[in-house]
Amino acid sequence: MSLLEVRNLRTHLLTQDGVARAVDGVDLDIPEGEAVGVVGESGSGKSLLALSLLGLLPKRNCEVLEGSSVRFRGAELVGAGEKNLRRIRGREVAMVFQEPMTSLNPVYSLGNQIREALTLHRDMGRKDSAGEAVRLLEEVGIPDAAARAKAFPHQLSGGMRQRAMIAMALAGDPSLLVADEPTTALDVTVQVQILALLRRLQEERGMALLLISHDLRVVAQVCRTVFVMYGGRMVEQGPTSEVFPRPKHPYTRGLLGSRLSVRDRRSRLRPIPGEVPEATAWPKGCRFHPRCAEVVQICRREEPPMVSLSLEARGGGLALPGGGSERAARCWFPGPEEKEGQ
Amino acid sequence: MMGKGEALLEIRDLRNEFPQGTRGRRGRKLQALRGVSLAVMEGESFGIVGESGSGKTTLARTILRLLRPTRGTVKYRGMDVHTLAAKDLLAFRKKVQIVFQDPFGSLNPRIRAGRMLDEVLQVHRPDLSRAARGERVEELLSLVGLRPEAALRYPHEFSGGQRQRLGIARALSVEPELLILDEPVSALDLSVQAQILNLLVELKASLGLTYILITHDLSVLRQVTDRVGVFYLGEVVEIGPTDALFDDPAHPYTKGLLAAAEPLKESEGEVGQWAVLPGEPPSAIHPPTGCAFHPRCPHPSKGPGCADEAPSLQPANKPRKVACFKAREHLTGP
Amino acid sequence: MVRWAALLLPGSAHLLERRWLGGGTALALWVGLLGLVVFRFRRVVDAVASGTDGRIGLAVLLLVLLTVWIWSLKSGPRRSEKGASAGDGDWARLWGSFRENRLAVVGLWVVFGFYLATFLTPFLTPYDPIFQPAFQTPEMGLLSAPPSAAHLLGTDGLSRDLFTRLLYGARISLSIGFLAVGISVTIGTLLGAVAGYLGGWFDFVVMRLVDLFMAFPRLVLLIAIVALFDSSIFLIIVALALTQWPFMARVVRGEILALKEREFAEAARALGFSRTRIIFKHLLPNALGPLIVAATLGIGNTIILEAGLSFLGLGVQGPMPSWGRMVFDGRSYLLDAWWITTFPGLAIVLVVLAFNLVGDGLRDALDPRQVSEVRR
Repeated sequence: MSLLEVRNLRTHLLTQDGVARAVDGVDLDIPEGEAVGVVGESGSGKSLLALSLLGLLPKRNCEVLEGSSVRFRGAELVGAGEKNLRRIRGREVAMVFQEPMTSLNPVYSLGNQIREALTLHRDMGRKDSAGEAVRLLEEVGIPDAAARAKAFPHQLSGGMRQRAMIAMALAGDPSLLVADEPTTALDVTVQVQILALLRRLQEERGMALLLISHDLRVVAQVCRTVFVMYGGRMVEQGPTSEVFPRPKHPYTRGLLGSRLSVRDRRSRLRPIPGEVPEATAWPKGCRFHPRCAEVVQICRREEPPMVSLSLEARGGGLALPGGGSERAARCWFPGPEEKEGQ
Repeated sequence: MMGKGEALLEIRDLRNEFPQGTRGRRGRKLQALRGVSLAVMEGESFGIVGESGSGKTTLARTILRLLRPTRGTVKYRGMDVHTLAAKDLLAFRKKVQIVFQDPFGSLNPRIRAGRMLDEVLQVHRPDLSRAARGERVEELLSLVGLRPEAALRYPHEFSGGQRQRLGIARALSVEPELLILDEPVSALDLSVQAQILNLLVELKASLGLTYILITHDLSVLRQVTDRVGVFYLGEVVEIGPTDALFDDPAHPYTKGLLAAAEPLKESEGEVGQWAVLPGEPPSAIHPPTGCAFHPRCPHPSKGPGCADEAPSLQPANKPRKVACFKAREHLTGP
Repeated sequence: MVRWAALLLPGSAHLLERRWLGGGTALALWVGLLGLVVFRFRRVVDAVASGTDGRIGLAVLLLVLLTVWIWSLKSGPRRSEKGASAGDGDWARLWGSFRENRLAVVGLWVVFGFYLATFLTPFLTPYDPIFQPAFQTPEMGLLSAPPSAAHLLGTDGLSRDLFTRLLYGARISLSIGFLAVGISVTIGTLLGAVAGYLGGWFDFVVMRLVDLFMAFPRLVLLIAIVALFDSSIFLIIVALALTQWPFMARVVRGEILALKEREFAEAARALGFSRTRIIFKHLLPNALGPLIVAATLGIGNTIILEAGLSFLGLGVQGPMPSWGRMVFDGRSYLLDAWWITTFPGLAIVLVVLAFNLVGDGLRDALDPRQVSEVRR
C-alpha cells in the first residue's frame, strides 16, 4: 500500500466564466520514502492539486467532487472533516510553498514559529521545543542557528527563509512533504542548494516527497518518479530516468523539445504551438490535441485513457486501473523510441 | 553616421547608491551598481546575467533614465543621457525602449490594447492622422503575432504570452533602435518561452534592432545573445562572446551559474564541486571587502589577496575579460 | 407576443427570463411613472404650468421613461449564463459583483429612489411646504393631524403637510450631500494625486494642510463658521467640503503612491509620457475604486452632519424645510404627534443607511477576489 494514493481526484472551481475543472481526474501514487514529482505549466492545475490533497481549498468556490479519493495510509481524506484533517496536516503531511515571505508570519521570530509547530504536533514542552527548533534550523543548513532562531523573516534572505519554512514543515516529523514550487522564487545558485537539501532530508529521514514544479530540471534533480500534468489530468508518468530521455507523450516531448539549452545554440527554437487552454473549456477529446503535431481524427473525438507502457504490457496496451508509478502515457499513439528532442 | 559595429551605448564607471532608512538615520547605502563599464555595439544582442542583488535591474532603469546614477556616465550615440534637455529627452525615449518582465503588471489594466498603442502614437507621432494611427496599430499587432481583434481587449483577457507580445508591440511602436529586455520570458510558461524568443530573434533581424537582454536564465542567453556580461553585486565579473564564455567560463561565479543551470546532464545525485555554490548572494548594503565573490568562491587557489583587493576586468584590451586574480591567467594565455 | 410586451411594458420581457433586477426595476419605474402621470394628471399639468420646477420635473420624468424604454429594447432577450457578464471592462465586472450583494442593491434602489423623488416632487404632492393654511383657511382642524389619506404622513404643528416637507427637505439634504462631497472629492483628488506622485516638498506641504484641516472637529468647525457668517446653503456646502477634502486626498494619495511603483507606470515614463498624462490618464483611473467608496460613505456622513447642524438651528434657515430642523421642531410633540419628528428622523436614517450599504457593497465588490484567475 502506498503512503498516499490518489484516485480520480477532481476539483472544480466556480469562476466568473463558469466552472473551471482545474483538477479533473488525477491518479497518483506516492510510495513510502520516495520522491515523486509533478511537472506542469500554469493552467495545468498542479497547485490546486497540492491544496486539494489536504483539503485546503476555500469551500466558498472550490469543490472536491464526489468520487475523488485521497488515501493516506489507507485512511480516506476526502470528506474526512476538519478535525481529522488537522491531525494529518502538519504532522504526517507537511507543505512548503513557493513564497516563503508570505508563508512566514512576519511578526514572530523563526524560533517562535517552529516551536509553535513543535508544541502542536509533537506535544513538546517549552524547554524541549526551544532546543529542537535550533536543531531543526541546523538540519536545514542555516548557519549560526541559535542566533538565527531569534531573527524575523524580513531579516533573512530568500534562501534562508525557504530553509526556515522547510524546518517548520519538518517540525511535525512528517512522512510526506509536499513542496509546491519551492524554488521558483529563488536565485539559481540558491535553488541548487535547496534542492540538494531536499534530497538529503528525504534520504536521511526516509521521508516521502511530492515536488510540484513547472521546471523540468528541478524535478529531474530530485525525483525518482515523475508525473506530467496537462489539462487537469496526468498525461505521462514513470521513472524520471526513463521519461525525460524517452518521452512518450507529445506534450512531454514538446516540453523537452522547447527547452532552452545551455550547452549549445539551436538554429531555431521549437516551441509548442498554441496556448494552454482554459480550465473552463477543455478541448473535446484529447485535451492536448489542438497543439499536437501528430493529431488524428480519434484524438479529436475521444479522450485517451492512461495506457501502461511497461514492458510486460506493451503490445497489449492495457489501461491502468489508476495510479501506480509504472510507465504510462495518456495518448492514442504514445511515441516510439525517439531521438532526444531536437 | 554610425556604421555597424560602433558603440551605440557606452557606460563608464556607473555607480548607483540608494540611501537606506529615513532621513536622520546615519546613512546606510545600498550599492546597487559599483562601477560598471561596458559598451554595446550597434546591431548586437548583448546579454546581462545575474541573480538578485547583481544590479541588473538598476542598470536597465539607469540606462533609460528612470533612475539617476550617483556617478558615472551613460552615453547614447555619444550623448550623455542624464544631462539631456527635455526636447532631446523625448527623442532619446524614442530610440531606447524597454520590455518588462511581468506581462501583467506592465500593462495598465484599464486600457484596451489598441488604445494603449494608439496613445503612444499620439504622443510620439503627432503627425499621423487618426486613421493612419489605426493602421499602424494593426501593423504593430500583426508584427508581434496578434490578431487585429486583440486591439479591443483588456490585458486580463490575454494569456501570459500574448501579454508579453503586447508589451513588445508597445516598445516597438516608437520605432526604437535599442531595446532593453528585462527578463522577457521568465514569467512565462516553458512552452511559450520559446515562442517569444523566436519572435524576438525575428524582430531583431527584420527591424535591425540592438538588444540588451537581461535575465538570470543562462539558457535564454545562450540562444539569443552574441555577447554576455556576468554581473555580481553591482559589478561586471566576466564579459565576452557568448559561445566562448559558456563553453569555457573563466570566473568561478560563471562556472557556478552554468553548473546550476545544467543539472539534467549530471547523473542522479552527483553534484560537482561547482554546482552547489555555498552561501547566498551577499548584501548590497554591506558588500564583502575586496572581491565581492570571495566568501563563496570555491576556487582551489583562492587566497588572502582576494579579500584585500577587488580585481578589475582584465585583460583590458581583449574582447574577453574577467575580474578575478586567479582566472586571469586562464585568459591571458596565448 | 413577447416583443409587444417588451415594447409596451419594459421590463416584462426581462422578468419572464427571470432577470429580476433589471426587469423589476424597469417595470416598476415604467408603471410607477406612467401611473403618476395618468392618475395625477391634473397635478402634473399644474406643476408644469407654474414654473421651472415643474418643467424640470417633467423633463426628468420623460428622460427616465425614455431611458428605461430604450434599455429594455437594447438589452433584449439574452441567453447568457449566470455571472457571464458580456461586459469585458472593469466596470461591467464591478457591477456583476456588486449586484450579487442584495443589501447593496437595495441601498442603491433607495438612493436612486430618493434622488428621483427630489426631482419629481411637484408631481408627488400638491401641497406647498411652507404654506401655512392655519391662518388663512378654515382648515385649522388640521393642526398636527395624524397620517391620513389626504396627508400621507400627517401634518406638523403649523398644518404643513409632512410628506411634502419631507420631499422638499430631501432636496436640501441630498443636494448638499452630493455637492459638498463632489467638491471635496475634486479638491482632494487633485491635491492628493499630485502630492502622491511628486513627493518632495509639495507632498510635504499638502500633507501638513491635510493634518491641519483634519485636526478640527468637523461639527465644531461647522458651527463656528456658520455662527460667524450667516448660514446660507452655499456657505454650508463650502464648509462641509473644506472639512472633508482631507479624507479624500489621503485616500487618493495612498493609492497613487502604490500605483506609481507599478510597472505600467514605469513603462509610461519610459515611453516619455508627461507627468500630467501619467497621473490623470493612467494612475487615477486605477485609483477610483477606494475613492468611490470613500465618496459614497462621505455623502452619508455629510447628510448626518447637515442634519445635525439644522437640528441645532444653524443649518438651513427659515421656513424652508430641512430634515434636521424638522426633527427639532417636532420634539416637543413627541408624545402626542410622534409623526412630526419620527418621519424626518427615519428619512435620515434610511438615506444614510442606504449610502453606507452602497459604499460597503462597492468596497466588497472591489476586493480582489480569490478566484479571479485559475492559472497557476
